[in-house]
Amino acid sequence: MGTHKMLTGNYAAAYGAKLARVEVTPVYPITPQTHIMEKMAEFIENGELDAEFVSVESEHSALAVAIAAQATGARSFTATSAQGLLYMHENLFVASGLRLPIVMVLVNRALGAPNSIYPDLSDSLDQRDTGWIQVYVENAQEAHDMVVQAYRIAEDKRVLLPMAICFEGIIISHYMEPVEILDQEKVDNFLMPYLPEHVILDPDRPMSVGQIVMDDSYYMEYRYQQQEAMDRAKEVIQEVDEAFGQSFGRYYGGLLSTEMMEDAEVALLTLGSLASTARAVVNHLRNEDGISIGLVKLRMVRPFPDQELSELLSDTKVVVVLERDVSIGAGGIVYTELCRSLNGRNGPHLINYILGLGGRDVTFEDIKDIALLSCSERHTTTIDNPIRWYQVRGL
Amino acid sequence: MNKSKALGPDIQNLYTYSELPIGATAVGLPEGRETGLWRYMRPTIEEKIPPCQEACPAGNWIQRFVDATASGNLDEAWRALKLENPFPGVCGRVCYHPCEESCIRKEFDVSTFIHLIERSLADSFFNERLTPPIIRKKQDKKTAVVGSGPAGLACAYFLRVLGYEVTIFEARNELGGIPQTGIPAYRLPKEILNKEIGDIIALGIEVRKGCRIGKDMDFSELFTYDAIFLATGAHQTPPVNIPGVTNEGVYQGMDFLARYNMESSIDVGERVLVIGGGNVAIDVSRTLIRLGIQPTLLYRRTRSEMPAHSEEIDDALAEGARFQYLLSPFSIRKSEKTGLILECAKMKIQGVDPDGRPRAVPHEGKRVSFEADQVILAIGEVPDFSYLPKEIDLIKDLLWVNEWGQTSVEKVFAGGDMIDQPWNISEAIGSAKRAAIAMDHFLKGDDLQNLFRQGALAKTMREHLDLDLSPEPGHREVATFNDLNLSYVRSFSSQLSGKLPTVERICDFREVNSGLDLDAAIKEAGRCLSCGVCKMCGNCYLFCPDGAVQINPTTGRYAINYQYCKGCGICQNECPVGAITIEAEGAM
Repeated sequence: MGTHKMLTGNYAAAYGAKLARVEVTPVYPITPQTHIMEKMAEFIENGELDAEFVSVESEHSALAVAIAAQATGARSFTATSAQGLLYMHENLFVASGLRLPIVMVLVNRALGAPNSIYPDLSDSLDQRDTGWIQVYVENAQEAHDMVVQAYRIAEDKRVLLPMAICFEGIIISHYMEPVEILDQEKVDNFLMPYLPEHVILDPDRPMSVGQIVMDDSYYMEYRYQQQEAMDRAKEVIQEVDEAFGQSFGRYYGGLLSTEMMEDAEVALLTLGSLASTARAVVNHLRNEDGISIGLVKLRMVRPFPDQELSELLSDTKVVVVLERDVSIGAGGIVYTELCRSLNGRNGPHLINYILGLGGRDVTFEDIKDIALLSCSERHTTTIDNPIRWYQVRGL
Repeated sequence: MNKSKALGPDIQNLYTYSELPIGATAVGLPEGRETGLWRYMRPTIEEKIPPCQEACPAGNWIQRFVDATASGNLDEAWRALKLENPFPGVCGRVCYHPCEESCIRKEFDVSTFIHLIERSLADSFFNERLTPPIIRKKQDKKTAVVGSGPAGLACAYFLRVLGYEVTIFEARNELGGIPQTGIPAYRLPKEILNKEIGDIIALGIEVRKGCRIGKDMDFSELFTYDAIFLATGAHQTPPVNIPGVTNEGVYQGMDFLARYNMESSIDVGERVLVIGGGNVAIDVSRTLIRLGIQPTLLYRRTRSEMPAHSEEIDDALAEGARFQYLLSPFSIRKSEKTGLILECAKMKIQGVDPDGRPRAVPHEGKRVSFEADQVILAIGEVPDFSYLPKEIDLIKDLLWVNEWGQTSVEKVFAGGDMIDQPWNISEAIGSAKRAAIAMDHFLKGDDLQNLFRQGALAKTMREHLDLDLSPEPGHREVATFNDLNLSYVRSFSSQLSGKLPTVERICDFREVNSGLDLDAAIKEAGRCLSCGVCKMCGNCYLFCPDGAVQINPTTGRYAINYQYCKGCGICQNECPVGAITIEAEGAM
């Protein structure tokens, strides 16, 4: 049994990294992530964690250092937000292409301009094509648990891909919740040391990494290797979730989790902290009003659970995607992903609500209103205007 | 590592999909990754000569001893200092430190006070017997040194360090030359000088005091030695064309100082005139002040032309010496009533002398007279060559030597104030070192002419003994301000050394200038910019994006691996000391 503490999401994530016995933490400060960096520095300073804290001059360098450290066989950890993540962009591809299982916490923050320190998932969702595994968590406990799980997933020989744990800035990063800090001994049993066999930089045994591949020799094959690894990650994620549940008593469902989805005609599909609010709405509408509604909490955006979603939603009439992000000119990013997922099937109507951008509060009442409206649309043949910006002021 | 067996993709398409290594790795260092092939600019770790070392006539290893001091490695600092100079305590006080004039730090804030660091090191090792930095094994050759001033003693020291037997011949009964007889104790305490002389002699040097060559021993007897170094200095009064100079009460400046310094007493009246504008005139004046006499100094030009060191002139004025300019002695008469009467010609500045100094010419035949008890003439000395055999050539009024200090007689070398060079202690030490190194080659039978032409004659002991591990020593340029990256330097200056208050210092011969205590000296040494000399700060190593700066395991110094250096120039830019140069590939 671990100990319980009141922790912010940031501290909960930092405790997770400590329990994972990370060895190198290059981090550059940026709100709302900075507490993670500060806590890691504190752990190292007071001797609780035997790791190298590397002060860098930018996020680009932070990830570069993590890549170099991980390539020598050291377990690396970093964290960033928004503009800092974009500054890492090119190195994200290097980390995944070199198949280095770095774990990074991404505290979602709206991208400037205009400037804001409040959340918008667009910063990390934008990076979904960089070859990283991405998990979205809904509270501090899940953030804590997933940092530990992430190393086991990422370092699995079937996977060997970097992994990002994403949660909303301020809402999760800064608000305190009771968190069970895992027991170190149990974590040590759950998570073996990182002992790579593929990339090990060692002066006594020179090795080149990320070789240049001339002409059309092998580039496609290396990309296909990554695709295969990402596909295999699905089963690993499920296995790790199962193993974690057995060790620590909490199951998160792996790729996604559901609430009252059996025979649900309407499904709310969302991710991050909105899932908590939506869960309360679903429970309320089911229990109080007898409405046939369920919740899909999407956890993994990469690998995207195409198969799982298409099976889960095959009998649903309406799927409402609630998301705190947008791809300008297309719609919500998760919505467009889901369209691709269900492509060519006679599946449910898809409705997309873009809401809560820049940290605008999304209340129980807001989601309840959306849910009730969606229920009224379950018998229509076509959905007009499926992409809806929720309550834009002054329109 | 066998490259042909390297794992990894190459254009030969050797692998099936299932064999492709994860992470596109390849064992070994395949040629495709030799990024040095892309380079068109070539950085070179090329140390430069710090300007202080270039300026030091004695050839001190300044950067090394200052850097070692700064890092608290005082033993190493002391060894580096003593390797090149047996007189750090003396030089730290009486050398006019041209090093600080050329210090690049001057252009940033204030020069590093090198002389104070040198002095502080010497003072802190005062109670320890000198262990020389190195003593070569015994050489089967005997050498003679004539004269025991700084040049003679330094040459004896260097010869001894090089393993030779040395005998010093000194006409006086005390060793030390001008520092012993001519420099007053308020500038150079006797115990400092005698400590350093004692350390030299203790290396096993035979000393024959009271042996004046040409009087007590014939010069020809010196030829029983395998090599001879002459350093008898300049002690003789030149012929003075002033009527009455032989009158009682007229002294020569050096004689006056020698008599006071050696006998600690001298009879002088109340009214003393000092004639001259050099350091001897100032030393005489300040000595007189300490004997309770307020002298008047007469000089034929003006203050700005005085050859004496400016700081000493200020000190003399502060202590109460009176200066009168544009006066040239014309005659000295004896007067029954008033002692001596000095008649001077009034002068004016008109035109320039051949040496470039403003010329003083008589001002319409005007005269002025002074009454005096004593007149002290401090108008220069000349070497005495009367004891030399005629085979040893002179040039004008000085002893002729070639570029490495050899006279016209093969086995006879010379240095110090006898030869054509500025007369001061560091030049004397430098000339002695140059001669000692040449004598070493001579005694080994080397062809000095040939060595000189090849540039293989070292000017310093560190080069001669091959102790300077810098890459390519000997072919270096002098560092300049623009070579340095001063972004890494914080501006600060140390607490300056002080002087005794004037009222206290005129009472006795206590030392006027105070030094730095050791902590202050270490701090001051930290101001050294190490111009052109790698301090192993690691910037090049840390900043190189290609990991192409590596430590050479043999030398322990940084080296560039040109297989991988792309020539970006970051190392050169980030080098704080300017020890890296960059130029277009192939421009060499």
